Amino acid sequence: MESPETVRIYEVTGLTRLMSSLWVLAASESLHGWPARRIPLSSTLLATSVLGLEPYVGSVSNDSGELRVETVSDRVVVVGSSLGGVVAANELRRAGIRVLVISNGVRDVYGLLGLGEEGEYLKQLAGIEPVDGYYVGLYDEGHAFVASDTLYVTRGPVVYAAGAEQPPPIALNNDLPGIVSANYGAEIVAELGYRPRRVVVLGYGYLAPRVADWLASRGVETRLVALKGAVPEKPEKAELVETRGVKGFAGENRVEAVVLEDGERLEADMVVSALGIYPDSPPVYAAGYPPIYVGDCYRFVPELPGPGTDIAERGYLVAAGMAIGYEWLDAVIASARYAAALVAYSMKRIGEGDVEHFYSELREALGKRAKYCPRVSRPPIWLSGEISGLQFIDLDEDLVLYHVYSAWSKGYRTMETLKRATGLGTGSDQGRFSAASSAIILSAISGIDASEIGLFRPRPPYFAPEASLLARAPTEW
Amino acid sequence: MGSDNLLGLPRAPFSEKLPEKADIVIIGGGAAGLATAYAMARLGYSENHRVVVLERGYLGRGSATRNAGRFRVHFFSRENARFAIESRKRILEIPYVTGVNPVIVLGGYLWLFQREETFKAFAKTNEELWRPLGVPVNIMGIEEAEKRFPHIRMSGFVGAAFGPQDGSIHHDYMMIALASYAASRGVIIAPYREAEEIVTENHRVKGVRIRGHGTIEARRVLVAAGVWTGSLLQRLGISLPLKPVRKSLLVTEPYRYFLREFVVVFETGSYVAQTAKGEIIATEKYPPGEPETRDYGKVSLRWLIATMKLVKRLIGDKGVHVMRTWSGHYYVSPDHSHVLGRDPDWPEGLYVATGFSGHGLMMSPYAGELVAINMVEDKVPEDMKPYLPTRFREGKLIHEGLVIG
Repeated sequence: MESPETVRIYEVTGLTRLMSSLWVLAASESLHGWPARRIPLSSTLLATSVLGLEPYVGSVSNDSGELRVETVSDRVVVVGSSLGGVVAANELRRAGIRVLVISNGVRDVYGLLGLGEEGEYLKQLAGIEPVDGYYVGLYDEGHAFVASDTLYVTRGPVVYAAGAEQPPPIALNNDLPGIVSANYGAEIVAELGYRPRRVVVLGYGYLAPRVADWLASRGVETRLVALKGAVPEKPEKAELVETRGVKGFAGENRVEAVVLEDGERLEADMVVSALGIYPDSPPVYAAGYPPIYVGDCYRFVPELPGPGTDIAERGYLVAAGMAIGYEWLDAVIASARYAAALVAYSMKRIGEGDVEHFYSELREALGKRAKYCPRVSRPPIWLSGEISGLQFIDLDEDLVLYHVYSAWSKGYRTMETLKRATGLGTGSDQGRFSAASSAIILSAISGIDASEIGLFRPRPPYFAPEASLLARAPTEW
Repeated sequence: MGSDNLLGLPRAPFSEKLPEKADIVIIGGGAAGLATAYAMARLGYSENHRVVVLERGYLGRGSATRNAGRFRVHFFSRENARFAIESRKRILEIPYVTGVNPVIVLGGYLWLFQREETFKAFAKTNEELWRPLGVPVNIMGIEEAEKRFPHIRMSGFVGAAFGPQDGSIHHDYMMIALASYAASRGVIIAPYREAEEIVTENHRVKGVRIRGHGTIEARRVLVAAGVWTGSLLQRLGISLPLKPVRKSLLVTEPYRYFLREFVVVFETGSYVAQTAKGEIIATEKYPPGEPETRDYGKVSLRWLIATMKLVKRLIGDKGVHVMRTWSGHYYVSPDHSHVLGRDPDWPEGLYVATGFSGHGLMMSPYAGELVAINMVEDKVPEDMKPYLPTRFREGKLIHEGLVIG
């Protein structure tokens, strides 16, 4: 397993960072004594989604035909066919291992900025033909994946290289009135008859295009702002605005515009956050679950698993390349290679020396980065040093940082107790962003390690399948 | 609540420091343990008894927060029906006593019947048991049910029964309510403190050894540790006929709140319901015989598929997205009824509140009260007598036939 040509080709490809402006977490002093001027009505229970069943129907329709079940334990499944997936699959094949690459065509372009033609070329070089599908979680029967007409089940190893979720485009001024969660926004439109003139929906998950279309169907001028290439379904009625990032919000006393990365202003009198879908990236949740995380200095992630790691103990799930950062290609590649090596070694296809080699390669790649790796890396919600009011931390539940900080001050000092005291992370996204953000911020305030504050346990499915989808599968096989 | 309490959130009811000695140690900070601590406080016992609750994780970490959050008064056995009526009264008092709103919704239970004979038997129980107890259900033919519950697909069912006395409670808030009330009246609640062993001397309880934190002395100990109760007792050579059975739940995205009722397919015990937040929850009994395990985490893919079929059958599946699944436990006793108090053969001072067989959240408020009286006043309340652990060897079982999930 030496460095394949494919990798070098990629290394010279110019990559831009998706989120070029990183707001560094404010110094802890600015959070101490931070005045709580207003406490909004928590929408935890009030803002029950009013989307209803019918308007909620998206364009995904899988209600015809039976799903057949195929057991693929004789192969290693690689989830994701972007850079990490391609590199890992390539290495596994070189070690003589059969590979099944599962790729949601959309997610292909999720992480690495849209591989486009280069991606196709890479796949050709690596000799892989991905099957379109989704990872739906780890069950008694093994890891499960759903493609259009097949339910794949494997008890074998899985390399999860589907990329980490993008951080949400929530930045400065998210305390402006008029920025609401999807549930709350829908409720005031549907139930209270509130008619905003122009709405911007933020999000690139499963929920966002449906929420945008639902609002548009109510006669509201609606634009969906999503990271370029990342939206899984294009909205039918709302206008799609693709961007490299959202810089923040502008307005006097209430939100007036969403400011994009390139400075463009999208006028809006209501901004709806539809960032809440269930996380499909296990690594952020690795604290409570057993996938091996081969990644960077992310605080929640346990130690980099050494070459002797028993992957059976980790549910045979090996995560690769995630949260490495888009600008650290050598680390992405090294982690994908090491993930593949751990699997190949467990199958006795390569020797101990080989794993050691890939391990040291990854250590070296990460080492180069270490000096750039702050105590807290890549907080999912960036706060400015100029916090003056409320700072939403869980837009799924309309919680502000004050709620969480106040509960913390009252002695609720682990993520599980914070969750129960505030409702943090109990919305659709299950704290995909808010748990990590809260832990990082509280860590900065208290000096307690973020990993000690913890995250929630992930609970499959990772992708939200329509009930009709799996109802098509047999229960006997 | 003081003016500094902007969130209306009680101060976390946790104690970092543990005393070396207590009068009563409760092992388990779940529904049964906290309900007992709450009763100790309500009955005034905590004023002159030092009561300590040991919880190995966060409060409610076990089955207390891994359930559908429902309560009902309709059980097939007279003992359980009466017990549940008493427990319901205490559930409804919680917000008034504690100042914490546990979001109680009296949405009712809706049983659907696939067979005439089960439907008739249920109607008979209604006349013979529930009506005399003052909690009749509303028995109806399928046409009437279709009219009253148009959002539920009734095809394949022959009849329905609606229990308006039944409802739901948010389990997390219930735990906070019970714990904060108990803590405010002197009960010491210690999460992340795992009871490792109950220490005895001369056939008498002496204390509890806490993993990594020494031993706390106490002459009376309640084991209310859910499915972990058995292993603690085992070390004392005591075995109760209880089995930990994994039960799983499917949770969807939140939708408009349209399903107040807890919809149960009587013959299978499967159900579909909706939380106050709007998530649809469901479980199907499949594959037959969930595994006996104390592990959390995984669920069966075959079960997930079967449950999705159930959702499709009862409410339709169009646009219903499954967000997650998780599992909890039933700690099942041979008669599907709980086990309270002590066996005179056990070491002096040892008590249990366990084996709730899936009814822990709903039965705990009354069970905790009875156990508190039993432990402090050294007498067995009348309503507790059928539930003593001695009933298994005496063959006096409380056969409970109405088990859901």
